[in-house]
This record gives sequence, C-alpha cells and structure tokens, in this order.
Amino acid sequence: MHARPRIPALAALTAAALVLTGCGTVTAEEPAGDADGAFTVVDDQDREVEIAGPVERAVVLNSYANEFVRAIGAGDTVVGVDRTSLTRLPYLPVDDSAVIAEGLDQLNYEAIAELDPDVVVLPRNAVWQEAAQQLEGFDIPVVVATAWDYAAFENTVDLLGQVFGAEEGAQELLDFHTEIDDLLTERTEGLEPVSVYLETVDPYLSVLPGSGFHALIEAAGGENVFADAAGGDAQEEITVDPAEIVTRNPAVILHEFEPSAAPVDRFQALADEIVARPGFAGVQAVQDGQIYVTNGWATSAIAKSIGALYLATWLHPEAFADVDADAYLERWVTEFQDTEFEGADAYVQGPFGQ
Amino acid sequence: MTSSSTKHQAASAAPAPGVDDDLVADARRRGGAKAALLIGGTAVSVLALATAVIIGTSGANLGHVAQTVWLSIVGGSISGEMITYYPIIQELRLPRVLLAFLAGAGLSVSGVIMQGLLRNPLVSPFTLGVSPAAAFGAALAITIAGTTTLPPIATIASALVVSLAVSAIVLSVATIKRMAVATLLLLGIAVTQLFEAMTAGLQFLASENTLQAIVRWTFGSVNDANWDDVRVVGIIVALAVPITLWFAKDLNAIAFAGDDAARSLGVKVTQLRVGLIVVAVILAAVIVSFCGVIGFVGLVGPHIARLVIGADHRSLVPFSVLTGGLLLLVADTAGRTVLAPAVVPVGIVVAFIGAPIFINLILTRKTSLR
Amino acid sequence: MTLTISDVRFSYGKREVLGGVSFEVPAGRFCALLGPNGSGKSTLVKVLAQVHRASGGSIAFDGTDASSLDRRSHARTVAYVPQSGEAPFDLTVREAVLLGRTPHFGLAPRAIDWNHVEEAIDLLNLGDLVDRNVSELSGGQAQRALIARAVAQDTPVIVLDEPTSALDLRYQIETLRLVRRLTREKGVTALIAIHDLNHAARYCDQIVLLHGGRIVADGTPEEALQADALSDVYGLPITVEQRDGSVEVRPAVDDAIEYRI
Repeated sequence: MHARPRIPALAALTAAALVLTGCGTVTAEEPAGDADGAFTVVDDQDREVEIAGPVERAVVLNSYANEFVRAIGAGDTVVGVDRTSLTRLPYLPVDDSAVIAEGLDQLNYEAIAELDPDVVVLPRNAVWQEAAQQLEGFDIPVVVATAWDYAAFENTVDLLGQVFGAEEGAQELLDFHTEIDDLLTERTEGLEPVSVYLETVDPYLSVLPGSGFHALIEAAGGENVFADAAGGDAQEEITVDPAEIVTRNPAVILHEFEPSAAPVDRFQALADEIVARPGFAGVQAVQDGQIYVTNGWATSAIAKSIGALYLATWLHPEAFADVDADAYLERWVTEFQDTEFEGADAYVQGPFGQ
Repeated sequence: MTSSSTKHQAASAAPAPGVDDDLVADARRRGGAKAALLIGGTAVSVLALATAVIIGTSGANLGHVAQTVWLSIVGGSISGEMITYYPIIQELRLPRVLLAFLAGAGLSVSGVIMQGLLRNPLVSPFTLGVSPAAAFGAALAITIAGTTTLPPIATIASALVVSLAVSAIVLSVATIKRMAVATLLLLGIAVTQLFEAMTAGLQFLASENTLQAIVRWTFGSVNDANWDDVRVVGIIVALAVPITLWFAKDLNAIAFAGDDAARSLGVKVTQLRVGLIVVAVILAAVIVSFCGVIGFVGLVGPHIARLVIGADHRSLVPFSVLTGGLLLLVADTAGRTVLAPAVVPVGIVVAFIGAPIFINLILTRKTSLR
Repeated sequence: MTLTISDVRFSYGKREVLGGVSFEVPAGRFCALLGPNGSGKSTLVKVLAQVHRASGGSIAFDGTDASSLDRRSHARTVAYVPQSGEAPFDLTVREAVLLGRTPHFGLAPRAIDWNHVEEAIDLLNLGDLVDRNVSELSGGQAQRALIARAVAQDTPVIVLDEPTSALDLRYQIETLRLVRRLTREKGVTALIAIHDLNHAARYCDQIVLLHGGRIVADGTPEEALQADALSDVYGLPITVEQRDGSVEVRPAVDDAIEYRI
C-alpha cells in the first residue's frame, strides 16, 4: 500500500520534467566587441546567413568544397571534415579526430559543437536543414555551398570568398577557370564535334545533359553519345544498355574513376576491362586506340575544367597542339592546392587500345 | 446406413482386376493437357527470347537472330548489315536475354523447392538468408577493394562464398534439430536480420562512391551479362532441374502429406530436405552472386505456375522454369526499353511487371491460393 | 500378413512413452489399440509406420524383421493413415490418392498405379469428388481421401492413427466398416488407434489396451474389456455388459460430467 502511489507520482514528475525541459529561455551573454565584425551572406539555397565575425575555424563537408576553400587560400581554417574528403584529400591539415561525419548525413552535432567552428559549410545534398536546426542552439551558422555543381561554380567561389573573407583568392581561382574556359572556347570554335562516351565509377554508368560531365564533353568540343537520354539520378548519371554504346559507336571513350589525391594506378586494368567488354571490339574508340582513363581528383578539378582541357587535347590534337594540359594540372596542384605534384602520369593516362 | 453400405459394395465390385483401359486413357488425357501446356509454354519462351533480342536493336528482325544463332554454332563469314548486327546480337543481346531467362528460371525453381519442402507458400529462395549474405559478401569485397580496381569475379566470388557458407551453417544447425520447418524459418529470419545489419554497417562506414557501388550491386541487374555468366548460371539450372524432377514425387509426398506421412510413404524426409535445400540454396546463391538481389520472382514465379498447371511437382517444376524465366525476361526487356538508352535494373522492374499478373491470376482463378 | 511386435520401446528424450510392448496381430485381423490420452497408442502407430524409430525391440511382418527392410520396401508393406492431412497447397483428390503410389513407381505413375488409384477412389466412394480440391472437402470426405491414399498404397498391413476422432457418428461408423471390409475382402491386417471403446468392441477382432506405455490387456473384445482393468486405466468406475452379441462399456456413475471436469 505504501509503495504503490509512488510509481504514478514518479511517472508524473518525470513527465513534467520532460515537458518543461526546453521551455526555459537561456541566453548567453554576448561577448563584448564581437558584433562589429558580423556580416551576412546569401547562400546556395538563397538563405541569408549571418556570420558573427571573421571565420577562423570552419567545418567543411564535401571534397570539392574543401578543394575550393583551399584554392582561395582559406585551407588552414578547416578544423572539421567528412570522411570522404579526408580520404580523397590526405593533404588537408586535419587528422582522423576532425572527422565529424562518415558521409553527408548522420552528422555528429556534438563533435561539431566541440570543434567550436565559426561556420559549417555543406552542399545542398547534405542534411543542411537538420544541421541548421541542430546547430542553432550552439550559435553556429550553416552555409549551403554546392561545390560539385559545375553550373554554380562562380556563385560558389564568390560565396566561399565572402564567408572566409578571401575575396582575392576567390578572384584568382575564378580567373584561372576563365583562362581555361576562354582557351577552350577560342580553340574549339567551328570544329566538328567528336563523339565521346564518358563513364564514371562503374561500368556502363554514363552521364546525361545537366551533369558536369556532359558540360565537360561539350566544352571540350565533343558530343556526348548519350545527349538524348533522360531519367538520370540527382547527378544526372545513369546506367546505360551496353548494346547502345556499341550502336552509338563513340570515337573516344573516357573513364573517370573515384577522386584520390594519393595516386592510384588503375589505368591499365580499367582500360583492359573496357576493351574486353562484350561487343566493344567493334567500337571505333577501341579499334582506334582512343580510350583514356583518369583520376577524378585531376579531371574533375575546378568544376571539371581541367578534365575538359585534357579531353579537348585528345579530341582535337591539331587545334591544341601547343597547349600543355599537364602544365595547367600542375598549376592547380601546386599553386591552388599547395601540395606535392606527383606528375600528370599519376592521374591521367591514355590513349589505350586493343 | 443400409443404402450407403450397398453403394459401397456395388462400387467395390466395379473395378475389374488388372489394368482398365478407360482409366489409362483418362490418365493420358489429363497428362496430355499438362504436356500441351509445357510444350506451348516452351514455344512461347523461345519466341519471347528471340523477340527480346530484337527489341531495342533498330532494324534487326527474327531472321537476323536465327542467322546469328546459326553462325555462332557452325561458323561462317558475315557481310552486309550482319556486320553491324552480329556482334550486338551475339555478344550483348543473346547473353543478356538468356541470363535474364535463366536467372528467373533458377530462382523460380529454387522457390518451388523451398515452398514445397518447408510446406509454406510464403517462403522464397531467400528465406534462409541467402540474399542478405550474398549482399554482405559483395559489399565486403567492394569496401575492401576501396579505390583499387577489382575484377568483377572477385565480387561474385565473395558473394558466393559468404552466401554458401552462411547457408551451410544454417543447414547444419537445422540438421541438429532434425530439419524442423520452424527451426529453419527462424534461423533464416535471424541470419537475414544479422546480415542486413552487417551490410548496413558497411554502408554506414563506406565512402560515397563505395556506398553507391554497394547500392547498385544490390539492385539486381543483368546489364553486364556475358557468355561466361550465361554458362555458369545455365549449367547450375541445367543440373538443378533434372535433380528436382527426379525427386518430384518425393517432394509431392512431403509438400502434400507432411513429414510423418511422407516417411510412411517411403520418403527419406530428412535427407531429401537437406539435399534439395542445398540445391535450392546453390541455385539462389549463384544467381544472386552474378545478378544481384532479384526478389519477387522466386516467391511469385512458383505461384503463377501453380495457378496455371496445378501443384503436382512433376509438372510444376518444369512449368515454373518457364514462368520464372519469362517473368524476368519481360521485366528486363521492359527495364531497358522504358527509359532507353538508359536501363532500369531488372530487380526493380520485376515487381512492377509481376505483381499485376499475379493479382490478376488470383482474382480470375476459381480456386483460392492456399 | 501377421504383425508381430516384440518388446518395442520408445522415448522422447528422457520421457519413456513405450516401455516394452509385445503383441501379435494375426493376418487379416482388425486390431484396435485402446488407452487413455498419453498411453502411447499414437506413438506405437507411428513406430509401426516408421515415422518414428523404436529405441528398442523389434517388429516383424510374417517373421521378416522390419529393420531389414529399406524405407521404400517398408512403405510397400505398411500404409499409414494420419489423424488429419492439412496440405499447404491445393491438389485434387485424384492427385492426393496418387501419393499412396509413391513407393511403387519411379519417375511417373504407370497404368497399374492409376488403376490402383481409381480402385481406391471407387472403394471409398469418392468418384464424384476426384477433380475437386482437397481443401474443398468436408472433414469426412477428407478423411476418406486419406484412407483412399492408404488403400492405393496396396499394402498387406495398414495402421490408422485415430482417424475417427474428428468425424461425426456416421463417418466414424463408415470408416470402421470400411477398414473391417478391407481386412475381410483383401486380407489386410489392420491396426487402429481409437478412443471409442464401444466402437472398437463392435468392429474389431482384437483389442490391445495400453496404459502408460505398457499393455494391460490383449485379446478378443470380451477378453480384453474387463471392468476392473478399464476402471483402473481410465480412472473412473466402469461397467461392462453383453448386449446384442457385443460388449458394451459404460461409466458407472450417475453424473459422469463431474469426472470429465
């Protein structure tokens, strides 16, 4: 008789505690003198984000975003990244303890808060709504910047320049991009497009209009053999029918594998695999020995413009006879990524044939 | 009472000793209808295979297909438009349609065996955890390989080894418990949960590209079919079907009369169950390892066959080869046509094609599915 | 065919169900196996059908040891009728009866197999139902199909495990008359596990009374059904009377319901 009433009472107390938690308003006192450095940026999702002061500590998700942050000269502010970024870019100035997410979801908000960053940058395909909500309580602003979207390249670099107060570095990066772009436009004008089959990480995984890879092909004076296809995923990539590749008979085949700054020697193996595919013996690119294999770290760099330049030199060797794509790659690696250049051969190889 | 007893006596006096010609004729007629269904179904399947080859190959006709098959058997020289068609038909289309058909056939037969042996219409070839185990094997190979190039055979081998090893463990544990049906089903559920969790764990730790590769593997697909795949799956199916047919009457006894009565009918129930489940599991494991996880066909292929030709395993086994094969063939052909030139994996399409057929059969058949 | 059971023992794990059972059923006799629930009747039937393997003792058919027969030869000697036959899939009555021919044919049934099937169907009066699905049959019809299966099996010995328990009175009587007729017309030796003492007394030639896995009585109905033994076995006072040339067993209490509770 004595024990019984205690349980409901305890339950009621627990329930009340649960309900009331989060009701009280707790305000931290603003550190004096911090407000004057505050500024506002408009991000990739047209959100106005207020950042309290100059960014000295940043958490940046997605490897392309990390490349850009480094390219504009703000690489040393990065204190937290996703696992994929660190795997692809071992030269980032952080170690395993800075990994706050395995991929683009399931972010460890406590770990982020512990790093006490001034800003968190993540792409639009990450869980940015959730992150903004979770980090609001810690007063950590969340900026959406989608560095893998080639079409948003200029806006993204501009935005990152503002966020990190590195407008000058951002301009240098934009100028480098424009330099390559102008060269491609000038040299490919009036040239007959060459048909190209481009595939990414998996066999028969090709690219459709709307993807950065499709734009890469067009910028290089090529014609994507799957330009008419539709129905791709978010990145406009899709598995195609192998027989269609044979029927469409591309003059050049480009296979780009996963980005990795540490050189990975898969070139010959991948080329051999392509040549050995059923029905491919009759494809023009295989017969002419026009198969190229690249590491995405090189050819997807700067919104894939390095890749476009390489492809252009393969599609139109005469028009680009005096252009050394390797030199552009070296500049990107040494000047903008500020890391050792292992030689173009470590990242781009071809042509391969039978 | 009296009238019923006279009826009995009259009836028992009727059958003459020895073989009654009318009865034999009757039996022949019943067998004849089933044979006609089987022969007709085979003809439809061959025609469907040939049609699937020309679908999506513009300008090709059945003549080109016949010519290609003829040339690939006897050899010879090609000229004119055959120079274009021969490699596409011979190296890409034929292996693809054959692999789709064989995979569907194998999974369907595997489903027939499992449903019959476990006396449960809701089980499938994957009930004992074959597909999650294979998926884990593949995911493990993809994850360990990381950024290095892995020959496709490595992923296949890893999936096959893990799924066969897991099945072996499940079966040996079940043998200790005398292969009781409930034990097998529960072990299957446990293994399925365990390996789904292990694959999810790998996916959680995987990089974006690895994750995508694992996800793409788990969508069953015959997009990268080649003649080697066709040979391996073909040999397995070609071995499994006669073995199953050989034990069809024993399978009948277990499925319809139950373990006890089957034993009294002279069937070695425990040995047969182990032996045929091994056949079913090897079928499913090989097919899943080569094509990824293709669900639905192993569950529904047998039911469609049962609704059409009846539950007697002597005709059900060959007919389920046809229903399963056709189901997957049609699904794959639809999958590469609807978004052509892009391909929707057959593992996704098959339920879209199969579910309406199945529901229609359930509604239109007089008898209910039990 | 004479059925000789010598010192048969059986245990589920440590629990002894049959503790040395010995009796003989002469060829062409109809023998009832009686006893309360848990007395080992069903188990003994299953041991005879080789559903279970005895842990000791031996069974012989006309002097041939059952253990010397392989499973298939055994199935050509003894047919088994279970209590019920729930099948998860639909099959027709004809196909269900054909299952009885399993030990006789190889890949496909021959003409002689179909002949036995049709004969069994006629004998059990299932002619109008041959193309029906077993699931559509009533309890009595389904039980007849199971017996037809055993008849089609064409064995000199048939054992039945309480086949009448789920049937109404008419079908109980019909089933017993039918098995009796098999023994008379075909010389089949039949052994039936059954609950109803009076039915057993009325239709069977021999009665074996089991209690706790041991034989309490064995003989003709008159010999085996003794009031003392029955009262002891079933745990309530029982009277046995002769009536219309048969033995009749009745609980000797006014309010039998009290004992059932």
